[in-house]
Amino acid sequence: MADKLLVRIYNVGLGDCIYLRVPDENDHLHILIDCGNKFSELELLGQRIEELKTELPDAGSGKKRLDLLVVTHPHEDHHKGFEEEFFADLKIERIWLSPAYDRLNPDAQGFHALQDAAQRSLQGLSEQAMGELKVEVEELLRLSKSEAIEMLTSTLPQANGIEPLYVSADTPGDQIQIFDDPNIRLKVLGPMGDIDAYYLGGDGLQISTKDLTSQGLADEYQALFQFSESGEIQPPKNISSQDFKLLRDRVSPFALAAAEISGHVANNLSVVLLLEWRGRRLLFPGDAEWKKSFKGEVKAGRSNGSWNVMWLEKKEALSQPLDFLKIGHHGSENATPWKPPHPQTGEQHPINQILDQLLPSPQQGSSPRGFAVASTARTSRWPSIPDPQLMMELGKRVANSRLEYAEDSQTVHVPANEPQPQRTDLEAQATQTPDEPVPFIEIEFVPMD
Amino acid sequence: MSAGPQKPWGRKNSQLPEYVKDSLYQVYHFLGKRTLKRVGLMMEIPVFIKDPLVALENPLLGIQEISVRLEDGLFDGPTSARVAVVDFNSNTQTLTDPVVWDADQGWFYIPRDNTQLDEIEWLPEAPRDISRVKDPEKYHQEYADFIEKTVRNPYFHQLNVWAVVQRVLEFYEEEQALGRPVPWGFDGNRLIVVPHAGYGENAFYDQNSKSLQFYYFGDQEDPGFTCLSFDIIAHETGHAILDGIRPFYNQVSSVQTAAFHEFVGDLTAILLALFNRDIRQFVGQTTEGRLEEADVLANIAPEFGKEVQGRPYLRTAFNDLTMSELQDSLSPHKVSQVLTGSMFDILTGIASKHLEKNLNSARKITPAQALWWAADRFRRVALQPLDLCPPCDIQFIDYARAVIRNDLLTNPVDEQGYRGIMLDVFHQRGLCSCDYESGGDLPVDCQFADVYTLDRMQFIYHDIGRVSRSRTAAYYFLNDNRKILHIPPHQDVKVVDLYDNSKYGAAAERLPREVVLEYLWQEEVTLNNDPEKDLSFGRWNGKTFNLDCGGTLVFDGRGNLLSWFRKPGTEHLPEEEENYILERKLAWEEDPDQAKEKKIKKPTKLELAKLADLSVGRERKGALLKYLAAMIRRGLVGEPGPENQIGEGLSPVVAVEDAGVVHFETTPHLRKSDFDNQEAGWRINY
Repeated sequence: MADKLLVRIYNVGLGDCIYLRVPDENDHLHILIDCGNKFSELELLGQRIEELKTELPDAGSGKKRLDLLVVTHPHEDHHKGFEEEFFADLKIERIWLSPAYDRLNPDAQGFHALQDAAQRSLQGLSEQAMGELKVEVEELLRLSKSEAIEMLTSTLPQANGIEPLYVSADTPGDQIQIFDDPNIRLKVLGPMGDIDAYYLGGDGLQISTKDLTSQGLADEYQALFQFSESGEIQPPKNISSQDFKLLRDRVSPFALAAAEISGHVANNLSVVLLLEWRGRRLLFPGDAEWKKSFKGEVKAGRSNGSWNVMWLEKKEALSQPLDFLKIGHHGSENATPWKPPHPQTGEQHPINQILDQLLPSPQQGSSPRGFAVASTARTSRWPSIPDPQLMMELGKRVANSRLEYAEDSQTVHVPANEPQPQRTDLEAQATQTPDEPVPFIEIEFVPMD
Repeated sequence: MSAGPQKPWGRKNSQLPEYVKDSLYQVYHFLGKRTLKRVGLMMEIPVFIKDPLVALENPLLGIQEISVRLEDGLFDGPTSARVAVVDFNSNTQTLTDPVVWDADQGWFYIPRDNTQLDEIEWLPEAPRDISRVKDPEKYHQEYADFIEKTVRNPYFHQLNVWAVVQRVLEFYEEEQALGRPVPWGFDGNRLIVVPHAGYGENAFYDQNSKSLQFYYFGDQEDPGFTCLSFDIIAHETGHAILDGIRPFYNQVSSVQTAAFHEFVGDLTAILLALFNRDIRQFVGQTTEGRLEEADVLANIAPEFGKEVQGRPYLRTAFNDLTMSELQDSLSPHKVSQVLTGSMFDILTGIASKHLEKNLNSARKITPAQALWWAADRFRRVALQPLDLCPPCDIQFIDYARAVIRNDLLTNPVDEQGYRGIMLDVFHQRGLCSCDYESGGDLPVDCQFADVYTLDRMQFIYHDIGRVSRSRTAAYYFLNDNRKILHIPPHQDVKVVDLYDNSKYGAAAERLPREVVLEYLWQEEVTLNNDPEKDLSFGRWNGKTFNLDCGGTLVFDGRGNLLSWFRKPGTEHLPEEEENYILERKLAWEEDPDQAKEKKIKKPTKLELAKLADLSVGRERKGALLKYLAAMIRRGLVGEPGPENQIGEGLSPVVAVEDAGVVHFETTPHLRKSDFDNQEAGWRINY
């Protein structure tokens, strides 16, 4: 154990809960990235945190020491587990949060306006909605789980006598150097500090002004998603005013649209961490998404994907092979920079060059170097996660692929005997007790230098 | 690509003196399309013939002018006799000015405040004919700029959506289709079309506000406008038209009835594409007439599909789905594919047969010509039967039977053997589950058997001229013939629609006038929870609702019955009478000699028909209860929103109570409350 780096992906259902034990000069540093899930019980997360505590060193007065807590972005499947009781007996040294948690960030006012609009419209909707839609709306309302935000930004830091650090790629290096050995580093590759400018954009959606400042965008989004406030409009000349009134009542802005856009932006505000440890490179991208438009390029004033931005701004860090990739967004098709080749022409999308750098397809006769794990679960609510094509592609590119997984034949699934990277939901099938879910998947790395 | 207009869009074609044009205008319906164009009674309006995505990928399928009737009263909006464009955006709560019609010039222009006519901005010009291009690279750049400019121009959107709706309506009114003016399904004659209703991944027809609403979707950076997709516009207009000709198909009765609406939407999109010369030519060239490779036709709404669902089409017409595979599905979109696929098979069959036949003949035809030929026949085969269909609760088999019946009426000889193709397809798809073998005789239990042999009916005679004159006159006819039509004596039967039409037959000959009479009554049914049958109606338990029953009678001009499609009820035969007939029937079936000896009266044809209809009526009632219970269990039934608003809060079906009776009505299928939500595979973003 002494000299090995441990990555442990806890099985929490559809969510992330990741523990890293990183050997430093004299000691080990203990890091937790995220703790949340969707659809599964909160108790499961509590149980995992209890298991984690057995790995942590004593910090005195009955507490265990956690050197760093990172929460990638404010979504339920990443932060639902931050309950006071689970963390009361932990001594947390540092808390790093996505800038999406920082309401006072002057560069994120547009994003917050959008998020508020989404929240407001969802609340309005939840009062009217019924059946499946109601379930969905309530799910979306729970998504941001405001108690968790309060807990992470205020309660937990206070209990530990620290301030949370909202990290971005622009955070100065000395603030995030936590290792004694200067050659071991945690790098933040995303998001960029100028949130609204990079990830929100201001075009399309019939936004009239070109005011791309953060405040300008905030105003635009407020205007765009103002529901039910309908002022006086001179009726058109080609229909009667009664018909126009009826029409206005029956033309509906789609409340969920705001929630949808805001959800994408929040994903793109995921803290993307690159751990460089004695010749090893491990990447934890949260739920960072990529966008296929503009052939993968980044355009000013447009809502860009996090991977696209990183490829522009942090290309060097992404231009060498990885030893480990936490597969983004639970294996969703929009979070690993790869798109299946064009079915007719075989043409590759430009975004694929990123994955080709990070997890190159092995040359004939050689075996892959990198490892990857998907923390995921196939649910009836989102049957297309994880994406089968992506799983099969990654299966060919990683050292820890599994052939023995067999998914129940749902409408969407990876066919049997196709290689897949290790998955928390299916890993039990590779053990002696296939009916018992595994508590975690772990991988150890020895130094390369 | 066809030659683009050199001048701004919408143009006059004729230099005829006004008084000549005025006279011609009055005899509009007697003139052929070519003549109408030559004398300037048709306008050429440029539209995206697929959508902007396809246009960029393939200039052959870019922007093309389509012919639309030049109406006398046309004005800003555009606003025509049947369609008014209102550019209201619910997100921004703004009303965009309408494109302006200049009657003298015969052109549309972009509105500008306080501007004289000669200073105004015209709509952008289309690039010239691709074949005459000297500098292809420059042309392609110009072309891309032009598409971009067009996509960004809301006034072009107004014009685009108006022209396509107008074209679809005219398409249905032509003699090869319904051959009559087509009404809308609401109280009024002008359909309101909203090109930018707001942000959302949808477009829909809403009967309540008399409108078609088109939303825009996708990335903020590059919104996709549903009002620029020909297929989507055609599909939604198809809904509006079907609602006009069969308003009760909007009532909740079964998944197939809801699916039929989707089918007609998709069929409309496919048919309109077939009638587009450029698309036909493109398909002909790229597939050499093998329609099974014609993606561009069968893949409905490529842009919408790609952007929204991450797959290259919404619902494809290429499929081999059968009824049995989808028997448990509650998704109208999914179920509709069986019928869309069937009709596409028939089209393919006709085209292939025609191409084959002419392959070795002296007069060689191109695949594009074969396609044109097939399309022309297919339109008649697919659309004319709509007039034969029952007024309510349509099932796929009803439509299939109407297709065969209509073909028998309009193409009795069937030299080319197309009817065989139809029967094969309908059986392969499981619309009828009898043991029919291709080319063989129809088995006795085949659902198509009685379509071939329509029994002569002993109506109490009414002069057809009188019957067709008014709904009340038609009611007198129905009332006198309640017995033979199985209408219960106590029911106040309604004449839902009455019209006559003038259609073309297989050889483009004018067919004799037809008179169509649709009638309907409603039987009250109580929703009672029944755990044994797994029926549970939630908060509607104990409530009363209506089972729609009725039929459609088609007569020729002399009063001969041409077809009768009906939806029987359960009240036309009192229990006593039923038992009396049943006893006698049984006796005659068991031992005819003994029955004869005992002087048991043999059940009459009419009695047996009543009995058969009774069992159909009971099946219908059972199926409806089962369907309602399933919908309620899935949480798909709700109540209308406050002040009758629509929005995502609205369930796919709303229950409206009126005078103690609950009516279940389908609502516009809004994206997030769609039946298909689970199956569509939306991208997630939590």
